[in-house]
Parts: sequence; structure tokens; C-alpha cells
Amino acid sequence: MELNKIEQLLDAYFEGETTLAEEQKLRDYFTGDDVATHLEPYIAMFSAFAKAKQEVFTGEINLPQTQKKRSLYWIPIAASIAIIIGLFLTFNTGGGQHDYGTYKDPDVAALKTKQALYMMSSFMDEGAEQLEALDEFKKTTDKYLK
Amino acid sequence: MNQSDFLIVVTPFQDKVYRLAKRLLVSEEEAKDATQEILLKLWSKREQMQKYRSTEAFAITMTKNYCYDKLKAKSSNNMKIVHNNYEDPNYNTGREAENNDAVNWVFKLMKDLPDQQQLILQLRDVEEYTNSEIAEQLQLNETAVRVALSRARKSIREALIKKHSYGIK
Repeated sequence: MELNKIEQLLDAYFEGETTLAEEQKLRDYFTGDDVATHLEPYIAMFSAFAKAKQEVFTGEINLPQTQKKRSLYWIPIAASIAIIIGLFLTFNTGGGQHDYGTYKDPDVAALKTKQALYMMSSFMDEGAEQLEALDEFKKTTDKYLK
Repeated sequence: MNQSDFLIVVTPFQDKVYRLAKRLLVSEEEAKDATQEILLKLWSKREQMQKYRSTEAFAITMTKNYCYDKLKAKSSNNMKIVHNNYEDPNYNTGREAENNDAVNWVFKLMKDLPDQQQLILQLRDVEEYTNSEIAEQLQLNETAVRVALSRARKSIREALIKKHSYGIK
């Protein structure tokens, strides 16, 4: 490329007014073999950019495993399914044929109820007998406190 | 999106992220950590990734923010960046080898620029992004990018010419 074209480009370059394509031309020129003597100071600059471009990332990229996250996602679902099945099995056995010990015949039922009530009242009477002792106490107090 | 899809998206620009981090943080180790960290962040945001117009621009923005944070933490800890080793053992071919010292010196000059100018110079002259891409990545306007770029280039030129006129090479 002609020298004065390069000089023009260089001036524009320092004003920040070159295009990427023009900058590529400058880089090609300055990393090439015949650079005009008075432009030699710029060789280092453009070689530096060219060199910087060649560096690559050599480290390893360690991404966290996605598998773990997915399995965690399923745990609550699996647990709730297990609970639902458990509840279903617990409450669904026998299918509504529960035996509460009720009597089918109303007469028998009435009789049994009466028996139960009698038994209760007899217990209450037994308790009341104990209270007769209190009458004795009252008699004595009446005798002295008229 | 699974891991291999993610790696396909990320591979084209992971070197750029690394180089940018290295430009700002200097140390290779720190740059590697930064790259790993940024890819992890991207991975954790992979579901939202499709929303961004360009994953690459998003990654560059994240890199910038990450490095700024690191640099801030460093200066508040009063730590000095002592790692100044720019040697690349794999790079030793032909004519550039002769210029290695001069090239390393340019890297040092770049390091002395303000952070934003370093970033812009790296993104434009090394990674060859357009000014509008850089503006998007750094959340600046294009004029600001152009001005900073011109300033960065001129400060390097000044130093180069000064050095050359002393006849030191």
C-alpha cells in the first residue's frame, strides 16, 4: 500500500475515525515486513494488538451438574404420592363395612338400653346410700342447737 | 438448555472474556478465575439468556463489572498489582520475537491507561468490536467510546514516540 495512504489512515486511526477494515489494513501493514523507517515506532503497538489476540483461555470450565437439580425437583412429588397412597390404604380397608356393635332389632336395642340405664341408676343409688350418714349428723346438731 | 448447548453458545467468546479479564486484572490466575466465574453466572442465568439481544455483549458487560469490582476490592485492600509477566512461552515466532520487548512495553503502557480506556482499546483493537457494540457492552454512548478510544491510542502513541526519539529500543 502507498505510504501516504498509510499515513492518512494512521492519522484517522488516532482520531478514532477509522473503520474496522481500515484498522485491519494498518495491522497488516505494521506486522508485515516493509515498514517505512519513520513509522517504525508503531510496529510495537500493532504487534501488541495482534499478539494479544492470540491468547486463549486454557482453564477448565466446571459447570454444576444439572442431574442433581432435577432429582431434587422430583423428591416432593414422590413424597406426596407416597403419602396419598398411604392414606388411601389406611382409610379404605373394609370398604365401609364398619362394625360399631349396633343392634339391628329395635326391641333388643330398647331392652339393652333399659338394662344399661338400670345399671347406671343402681350405681347412683349405691352412691346415695352413703349420704344417709349425713342425716345422722343433722339429727345431732338439731339436738344441741335448737 | 443443557451443558453442551451452553458450551456451544459460550465457546466463541470465552477467550474474549478471558483476554479482557487479563487486560484489567493482569494476572493469568485471576483472569482464569474471572472467566470461570462469569461462565458460571451465565450458566445460572441460562434460562434468561435468550432474552438478551446478544449473549456475548451481556458476557462482556458482566466481565467489565466483575473486573471493576475486583479492582476496587484490590485498591481498598491496598494491594499492589505485582504480576507484570507478559511472557507467552508459546509465542516465539519470526519477526515478532525480536520485538517482544517492545510489545511487552506496549502492554505495560496499556496497563497504565485509565480502566475505561484499557477496556475500550482492548475491545476495539484486539477483539475488533464495532463502536456501537462497545457502547452497548459498556453502557456508554458511541461518541464517548470514540473519544476514549482516540485518547487511549494517542497516549500510547505519545509514549512510543517519546521512547523512539530517545533512541532506546
